[in-house]
Amino acid sequence: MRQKNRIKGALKGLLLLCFTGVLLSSCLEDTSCGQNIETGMLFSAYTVTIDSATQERVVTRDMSRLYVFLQRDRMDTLYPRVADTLAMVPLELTDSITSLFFEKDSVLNEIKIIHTLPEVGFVDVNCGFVPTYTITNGSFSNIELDSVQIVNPTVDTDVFKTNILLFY
Amino acid sequence: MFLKPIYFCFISCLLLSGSLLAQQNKAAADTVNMDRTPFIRIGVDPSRYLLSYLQPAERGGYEVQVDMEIYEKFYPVVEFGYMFARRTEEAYALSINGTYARLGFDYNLLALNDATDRDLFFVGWRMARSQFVQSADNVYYENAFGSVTTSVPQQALHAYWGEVTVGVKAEVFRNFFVGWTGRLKYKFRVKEAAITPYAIPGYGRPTTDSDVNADISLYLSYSFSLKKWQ
Repeated sequence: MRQKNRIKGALKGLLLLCFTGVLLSSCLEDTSCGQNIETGMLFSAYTVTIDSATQERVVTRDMSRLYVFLQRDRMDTLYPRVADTLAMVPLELTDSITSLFFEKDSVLNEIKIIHTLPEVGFVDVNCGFVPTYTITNGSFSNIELDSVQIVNPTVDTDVFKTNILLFY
Repeated sequence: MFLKPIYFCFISCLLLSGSLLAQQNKAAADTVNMDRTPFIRIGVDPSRYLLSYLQPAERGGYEVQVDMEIYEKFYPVVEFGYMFARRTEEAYALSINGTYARLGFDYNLLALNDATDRDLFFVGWRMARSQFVQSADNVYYENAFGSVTTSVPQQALHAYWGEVTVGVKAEVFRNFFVGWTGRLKYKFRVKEAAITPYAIPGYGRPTTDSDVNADISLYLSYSFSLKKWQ
């Protein structure tokens, strides 16, 4: 009987240990969004030249002197983000057509992106919700802009997935 | 980060209990052929109420556990409960509520000391299902084009998971038990949802990088003797 009481005492000790574990773990919940989560369409710009010696097309990534505006008057500058090789611009929240004005070497091109209305995507309890889109089509004014290619239609918070390529 | 203390506790309990078990089984090795009165044990988990005061979400519910010995050391177990949670942040308000049920067996690893001994140190398993609804409102986001406040309509969801359990039920007063059940859970399936469930009643907070979860239930139980079958 003494043996049994001793074991019971130990089991109760374990119970206390577990209860403490539950209380501690409950207090350890993260309460802040540790990363900058933002939805944006990612693009890269390339220049296409002809090699005079070989007569072959040479495609070079070139993000220099590239600016994006919300309006043709170039008043609202968007500062494309994400390093030298990739830039991010937002899409309309209440419309399924987003017009953006891309300036490169002082030449302005309007690019219209046709996409779904934003769907709600849940990141986590700390970061909350973000809009997500699917690009369905697009058009552009081809002033020194050769072509626009949609390589990935899903626009979300992934900052490594290029959505469109611009070829000048 | 959130699960680490629970995993630690779960594994510690297994290791500590192993040594206790060896000690106890040695003491009661001679106990055989006892004429036991069948009983049913009903318990509630008070921690479901306590946790609401420790977490940012407005959260509550109840859980009931019923077990009985049907064969020497084998205890079929039924657990069922209800959970609601509402988390209100600056940019959204998320609501979830639903019921869950678990069905399984516990196997008592302790040798019995006498015919009235109902203490348990057990290992077991459960199969579980949860049925719940989730919705979100006041969802706000903004970018250079402006801002939008929208909502996600209520969606009915369900989830299945399995559990490996370890735990204790110790009789602290006559017929009155205090115990815990440590659970290691593996999520089998969750219905596709517009938004990833914030929590699954009975399972807890799902994570995107793992199908495994762990937690501990605490029980206050009372056992009722049943008449022997003739």
